[in-house]
Amino acid sequence: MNKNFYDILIIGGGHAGAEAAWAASEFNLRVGLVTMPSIPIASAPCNPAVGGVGKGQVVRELDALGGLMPILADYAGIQFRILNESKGAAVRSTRVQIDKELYAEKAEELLSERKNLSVIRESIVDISLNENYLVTAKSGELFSATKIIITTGTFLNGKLHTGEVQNAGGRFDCGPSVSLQTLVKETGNIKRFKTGTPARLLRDSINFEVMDPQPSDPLAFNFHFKNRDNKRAQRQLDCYLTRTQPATLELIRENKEKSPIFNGQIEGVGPRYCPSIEDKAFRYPDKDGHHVFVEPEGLNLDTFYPNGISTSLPVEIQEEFIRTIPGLEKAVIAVPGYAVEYDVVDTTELNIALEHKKLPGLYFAGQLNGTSGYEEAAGQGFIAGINAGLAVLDKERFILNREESYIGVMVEDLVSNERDEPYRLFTARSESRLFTREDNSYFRIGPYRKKLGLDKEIDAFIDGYFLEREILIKLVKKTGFRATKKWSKHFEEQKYGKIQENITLEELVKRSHLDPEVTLAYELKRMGVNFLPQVVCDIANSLKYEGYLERSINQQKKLSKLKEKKVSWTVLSENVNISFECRQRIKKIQPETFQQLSMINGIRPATLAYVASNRV
Amino acid sequence: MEWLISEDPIIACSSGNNENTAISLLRISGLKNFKLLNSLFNKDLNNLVPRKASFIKIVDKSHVIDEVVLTFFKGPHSYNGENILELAVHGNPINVRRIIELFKKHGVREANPGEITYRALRNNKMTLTQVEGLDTLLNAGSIDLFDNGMSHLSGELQKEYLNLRDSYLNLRGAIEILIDFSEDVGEEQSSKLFKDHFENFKSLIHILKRRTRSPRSHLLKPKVVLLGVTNAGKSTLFNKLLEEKRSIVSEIKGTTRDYISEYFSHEGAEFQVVDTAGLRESEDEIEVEGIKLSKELYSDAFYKILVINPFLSDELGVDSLEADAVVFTHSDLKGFDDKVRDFDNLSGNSKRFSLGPIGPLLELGPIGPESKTGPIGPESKLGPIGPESEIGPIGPQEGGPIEPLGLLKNHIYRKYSDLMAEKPILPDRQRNIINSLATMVDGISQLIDGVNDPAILSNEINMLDAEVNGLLGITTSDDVLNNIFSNFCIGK
Ligand SMILES: Cc1cc2nc3c(=O)[nH]c(=O)nc-3n(C[C@H](O)[C@H](O)[C@H](O)COP(=O)(O)OP(=O)(O)OC[C@H]3O[C@@H](n4cnc5c(N)ncnc54)[C@H](O)[C@@H]3O)c2cc1C
Ligand SMILES: Nc1nc2c(ncn2[C@@H]2O[C@H](COP(=O)(O)OP(=O)(O)OP(=O)(O)O)[C@@H](O)[C@H]2O)c(=O)[nH]1
Ligand SMILES: [Mg+2]
Repeated sequence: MNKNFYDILIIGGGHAGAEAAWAASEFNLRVGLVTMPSIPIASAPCNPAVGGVGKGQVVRELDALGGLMPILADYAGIQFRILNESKGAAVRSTRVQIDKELYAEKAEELLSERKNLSVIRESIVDISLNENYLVTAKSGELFSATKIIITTGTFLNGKLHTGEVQNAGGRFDCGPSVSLQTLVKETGNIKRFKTGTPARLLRDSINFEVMDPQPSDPLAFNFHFKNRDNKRAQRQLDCYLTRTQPATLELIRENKEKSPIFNGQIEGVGPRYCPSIEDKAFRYPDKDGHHVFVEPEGLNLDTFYPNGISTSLPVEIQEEFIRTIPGLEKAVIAVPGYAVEYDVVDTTELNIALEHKKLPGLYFAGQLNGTSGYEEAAGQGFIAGINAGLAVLDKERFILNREESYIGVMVEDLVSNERDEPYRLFTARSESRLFTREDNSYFRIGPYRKKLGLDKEIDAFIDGYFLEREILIKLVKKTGFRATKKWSKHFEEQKYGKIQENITLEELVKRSHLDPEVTLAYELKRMGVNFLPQVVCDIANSLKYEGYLERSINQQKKLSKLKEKKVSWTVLSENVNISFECRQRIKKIQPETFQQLSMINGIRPATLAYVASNRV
Repeated sequence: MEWLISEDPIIACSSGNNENTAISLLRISGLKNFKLLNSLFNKDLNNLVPRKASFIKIVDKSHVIDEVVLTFFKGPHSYNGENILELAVHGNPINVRRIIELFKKHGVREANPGEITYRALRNNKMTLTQVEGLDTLLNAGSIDLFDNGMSHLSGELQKEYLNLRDSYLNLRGAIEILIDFSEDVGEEQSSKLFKDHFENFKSLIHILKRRTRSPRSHLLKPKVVLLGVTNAGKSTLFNKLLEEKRSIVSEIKGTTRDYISEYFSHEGAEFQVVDTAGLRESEDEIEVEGIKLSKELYSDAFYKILVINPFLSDELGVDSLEADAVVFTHSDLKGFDDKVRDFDNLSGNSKRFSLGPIGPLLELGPIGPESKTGPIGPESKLGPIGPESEIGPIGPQEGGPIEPLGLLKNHIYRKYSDLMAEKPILPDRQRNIINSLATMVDGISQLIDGVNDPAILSNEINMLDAEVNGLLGITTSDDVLNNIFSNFCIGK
């Protein structure tokens, strides 16, 4: 056999590629990861952080799936935070500031340890399909593979913008990967998106005294199950909070015509949910200030990332407006901010395993699918990697349900709808977010991992988790308090409210004015029983949300008859009673159920009403 | 419910076919082409010009059945989006029947009630709200109700529902911003945004809810119920309202033992007036039952009239009952005014309209020069207006002075037209949805004040989705459709 033959070849070693390689190499298959020589594996071109609202959930799902990202994030984490802390457990998310050097080093190390995985430093210039896929590198080296996973991020036809200066490239310090386009073009409609990053600032030039420090939160759980002692691998650093000033925004508004976003130089569509400072200045003219989080890029790096002021204005103006921000009056730019425009593939051409419908064996994951963010990339990488492996082995596809996971939500959204702006996960994308929480991710996702039957260590952990969970459920239902003087006093002291008749621990935890996690943890401690803190949180919040969840599930059930109603897109797309626009979209997406139809962007109520009252 | 999916060509007589009329209108809907029926006419249907009437003969094996006027409406530019043939035929039911049977033999099915309109819904020509408006319009018992149906048919209500949906989508957006983007937007600003959108949505719901507050029965078939002790003069008043002797009048107490109802029209609205068994202590089982019924009828009435003979003592406390109008009888008797004065401070509902006295019988004519409420024109047959009349000033209007009976009818109608002016929403389906939305929204209000967990709030808010869409007809099951259309007459 050819030494350059692989079962699965992954092209691109970003967050998607690394995760795909990690997952695919769990099978006993020959896996290769080809990536540009100049860029570290799993490098962070933008914000050096993992997690965030909706994204922390993905990282925890990846941990239950045996993923790479949670291990790396724990290892490189230098500041941990819980976002949305006051908003209820269902939408609470962990965010970890990472040392980007350590992160990439660890990725490289862990991937190289996999015996059946080769990391290949080459730039790929061509992919073609014969019997197998044939892959050509710039150096002339040839590879072949039965399955290919493309994860080239922002490199397809990438173009960088800083003011009027334009360069071809996928990132600040490297060229684009142009030639892949020919292949990708064949896969369908190509769209152009843009994203941007702020200038990096030198540590010594920043006055931290006038900013609010944000220390690492020792209570935030680590991501990886083996780190459940909650010890941090690295020394923890503070991040800092400051604000843009009216003068900052004024300056930006004055220089509108110099911004590639607004003067027509950039055609790509940027993420509405992670806007550049120019976007903010023009889109919200009434606001006179925005948060800026000033974040270290690493323990040994002397650069800071000013989160919230991503820009593609000319360097002089970047410097000028940055210096209007308290604490940054003397800031020195180490690397200027820039925007990058790149091609994205049409994900409606992919199936739910992220495999191309017309080019079987070809998978796509990460930013070139039109998503934005490391976690989104990693989540897709896992799905593509696992499914490529299962496909080689002729096994059934691995699909995560949208009701049970954010990864499932994302993949379904991607393949069932065309993007017209970069896709980012947030909690609102999940219909069942009272269930898809961080705290119960092992409960939600563990069984899926077990079914793969790959790694005994995770399986053992998940079995243990389920056992503890079961015991704790029994305990909260069976233990309780009698309506006696003694417990009355206890209730009073703990501000639990009145105790009129005997009450179980379960009922107590459900009392709406109490924090369920705190209450349950306290009572267990008082009883002197020990449970994994994750299990305690899982059960506490499950109890709290149980009633609401049930109601919404019942309602879903009522609606599901309609949702599952089969629709014939061919009939619909020819029906003159439906507006032309809607018919175009229907033809494109080819919905098979009422649910899918109703999820198409821009479908009018009239069309839905029409379909609801019809058997088409 | 097979017919919901049927695409058969269907036929129905749309102009009602019970009596001999000059013309009956038959409609055939859903013909894909004219192959089925072409042999039944003396001209080739393929030459028909859409929307142009043609004189044509219906023939059965060269035997002329009828001479008719035929108009072809080509889909999708027709009432229901399908090809429709409209035939104006001679209106004898025997003829109409024969023609329908003839077409049936040639592959056209007789339509179910509402089926022609259902196809309009199916083809996106009408929304469910419009269909329901049509239902109201077709079955309206008053001009006001007809207008109400018309405005819904024209899509006005649908517009308001779309408006509600917009507000709902904004609300959903706001809670998501609060959860997912408060770091970007700012904590305070995102909470305010959410509160504002919630209040807006809530107020829209409550405005709609107000439009469902009058019971449907009041609007569809307003009942005017007379109540009073035996011998108060209820049956007398009843007969006057109807202008005919419909109920037995006698000085024997307990004459009316079971209720009697009839219709009268006023200002284009039809009212059902009910004479009830007089109230008194009784041993008679039938009478006791009748009295019980009287009270029930009274409490459900759209318009409540208390009939009082001021000369009779009221041991049952009847005169303190809530009423829309109090009518004093026996104004022809001496000392009437003094007696009536005793009732000046009726303890029941303070806002009642008191009217009368009304003379014992229409013929019995004018009484009471001592009237308190000003001059009654000499032509007045029916004498003075009661002490607390709220409808003033009484005096000569066009066509002379208004007699109390007219005043009473006006007052009844006024109450009705005031209700109709609130633009009430009639269809039960919509009323139920609106009321359940209002309940859910109030529940969310409480959650906001109590638990205030945005994840829970958004969960509850998301659950409104089905109801909001339901109003627009987006989530309707077959049962609902069946129910609505079975209300329609055949041919619609
Ligand atoms: C300038 C910039 C700003 C960003 N801003 C944000 C932001 O504000 N918010 C946010 O959420 N996300 C942002 N991101 C996105 C985030 O970095 C990506 O979503 C994430 O890194 C995507 O991961 P990926 O694996 O898909 O691609 P990448 O991490 O980009 O990895 C692509 C990999 O493919 C390799 N490669 C490319 N072409 C070839 C080839 N021909 N041959 C071999 N190897 C190849 C490269 O070496 C690289 O390792 C930004 C990214 C950039 C570049
Ligand atoms: N003089 C005079 N007699 C009246 C007047 N109104 C009613 N009466 C008489 O009062 C008697 C009772 O009248 P009805 O109308 O039968 O009374 P009712 O309230 O229907 O009585 P029940 O059916 O028995 O409950 C009849 O003899 C009427 O003629 C009035 O205004 N003046
Ligand atoms: Mg009577």
